[in-house]
Amino acid sequence: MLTQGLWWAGNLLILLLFVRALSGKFLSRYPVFYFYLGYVLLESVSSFYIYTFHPSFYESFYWYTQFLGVALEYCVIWEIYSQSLIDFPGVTRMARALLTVIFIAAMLKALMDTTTNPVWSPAEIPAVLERNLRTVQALLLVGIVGLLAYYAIPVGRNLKGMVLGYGVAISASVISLTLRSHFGKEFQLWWQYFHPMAYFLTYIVWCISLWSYQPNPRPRNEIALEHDYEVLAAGTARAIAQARSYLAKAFQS
Amino acid sequence: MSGVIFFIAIALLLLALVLLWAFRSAEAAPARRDLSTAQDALTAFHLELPPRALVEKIFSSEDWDFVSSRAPLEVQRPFLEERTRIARTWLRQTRNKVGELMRLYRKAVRQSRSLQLAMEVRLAVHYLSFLVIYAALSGLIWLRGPFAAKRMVQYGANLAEHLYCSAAHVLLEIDPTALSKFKAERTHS
Repeated sequence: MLTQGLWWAGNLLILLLFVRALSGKFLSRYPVFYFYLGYVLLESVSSFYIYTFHPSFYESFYWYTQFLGVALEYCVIWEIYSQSLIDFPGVTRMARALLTVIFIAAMLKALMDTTTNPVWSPAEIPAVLERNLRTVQALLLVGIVGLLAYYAIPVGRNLKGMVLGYGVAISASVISLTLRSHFGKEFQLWWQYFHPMAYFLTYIVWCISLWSYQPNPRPRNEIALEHDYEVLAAGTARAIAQARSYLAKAFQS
Repeated sequence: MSGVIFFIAIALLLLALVLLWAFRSAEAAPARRDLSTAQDALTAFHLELPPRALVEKIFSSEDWDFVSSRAPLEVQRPFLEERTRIARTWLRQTRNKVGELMRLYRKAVRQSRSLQLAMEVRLAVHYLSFLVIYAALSGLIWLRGPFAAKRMVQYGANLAEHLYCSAAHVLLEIDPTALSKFKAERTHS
């Protein structure tokens, strides 16, 4: 009963997100994100239909659509990355290098783990593979958020909400898929509640943050003029020099 | 079991990081310093260090040798407490100033096109080790008093020097026009 309620409420929240984006005319600002939301809604309704009228196909249908969803989520992560760093070319270049390394390393490890571990039965492999793919997503998001926090890059409410909602959803997915592949069917009961509740929470976060269009604040040209930057660089270096000599002399005495 | 812990740890790391980032930056936004001009930035980052003569005395064991050999216990204890308090205040102040410098640096370079991954990682590692050393130093002072921590303080000072070199190097690489001016200033100082 609770899961059905969450399912309906979740779909309504997605519809609400579309209504707000269409009435506020900002759907085209986050095209990949809204495409993904459309896919989630379609997949959810199709799942209901298959589950009710063709239950024998449900399991394979579920896993195929899950993997397509995971693939689309990678596209959304790319949208978050490109939109949040659009005004920061140096950080973008660094992020690209960092995320490529994370992606290749984590993906290779995830695929190797999934295919070489003899413990898993064929029935378990989709769950393990999905967990590994979502772990890669988690690492990519950690990389992006780490860079945003490190360079104090200003991000608007829309994008911040997207990242927060995604963070909650991916974390919950990794935890539930890990526990499910570890405990097997014993965890099925919890899975039925945990998973929809986490996604319901995510939709609420998205509804709040994407209620209206709030773009990223445009950074001021902090170092627009060469002279300004020259003063800043020289002044910073001088200040560090002061701190260094202060420390060194204090303890060499 | 270790695999389970690994995956759950990554999930919790992501959750904690995202929550911290979302709510912390939301709080910090109104208080964000105006860095629109270099002059503002330099005013915001003004190093006001305590008098050097005072700091030189904090970790020096001469005073303690004198007090411990001549004064009774009732005098030794408050002396040690007071010196510890001063040492910790000084440490905190130094850490805050270096932290402020790093924040300024990151805000200054974030729009630059010339950022280098290797250099940025090196600087971040130096800064992290600086923070770790100062945290350890703070703990050591709390546990064993300021006079026992002298060797570690010197290590911390070396790290600060390393941090300085890396930050200055990056800043100068980003804007080569500042190089000649900076070199001249260093020669004169």
